[in-house]
Amino acid sequence: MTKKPKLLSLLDILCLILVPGALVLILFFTPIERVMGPVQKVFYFHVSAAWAGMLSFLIAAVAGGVYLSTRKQKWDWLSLSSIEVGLVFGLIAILSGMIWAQPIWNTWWVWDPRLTTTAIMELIYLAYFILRSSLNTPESRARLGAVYAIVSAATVPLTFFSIRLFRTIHPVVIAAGGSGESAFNMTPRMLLAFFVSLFVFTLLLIDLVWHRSRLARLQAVNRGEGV
Amino acid sequence: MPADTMTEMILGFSVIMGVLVVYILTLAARIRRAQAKDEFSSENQSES
Repeated sequence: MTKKPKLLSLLDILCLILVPGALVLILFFTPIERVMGPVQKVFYFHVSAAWAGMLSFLIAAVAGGVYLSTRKQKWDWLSLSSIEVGLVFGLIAILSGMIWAQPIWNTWWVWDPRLTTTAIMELIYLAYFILRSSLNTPESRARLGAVYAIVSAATVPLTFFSIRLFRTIHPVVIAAGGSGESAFNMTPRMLLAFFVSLFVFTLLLIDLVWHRSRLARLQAVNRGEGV
Repeated sequence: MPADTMTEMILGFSVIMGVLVVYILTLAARIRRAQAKDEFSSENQSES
């Protein structure tokens, strides 16, 4: 096992400080939304988790593409790791959205275009692991995994733009011109907490993907896969 | 008057932090297990 890089240790410490820090900022610094009440505060982490999940899936597609052109295993490990971490963030986005929806929409789930495309995206990426586990050689796992990661990335823009392409009840966070029909009107404090949360979740995503890639490398060594 | 949704807020953050913590713990456990296996096979190789 190669020694843990100092930058990764620094990232660990930063995440350990910044994630609780962002939570404190949201709980005690942002105002309570005048209609939805305290549950609106979940929005900051909900959007950040969705952002981190989608970014992960795009990283997986890029890493898959680089693997196909270079055939270097490290890009397969990055692709695999990004998808696993992306699934975790996607799950967080779905669950926190359901908890927000219960008092606001009076239901846990509706087959709204955004919710439906997010669920489909999550299931498609879950199937990535079924595909990998059904293949015997590391080469075929990496090659087909890369192709699958690239093709599946089509669900990311579809999910992101679903609230603009279809009729939906899902709020539009960043509306054109800053004031869409259902856009959140954010105060400066809300905006600060929103961007801090996005930044912190992006850091957390890098940290987790890095750790997961190191694990993938170690597992390949243990299986004697010619690393 | 804002809606009283404090319970949902607490539930929301509990679920978010709970999923993150569970994933980080399972990742740490998998890393530790893989490291132990790596060390074990390195020791075996050096003995033989």
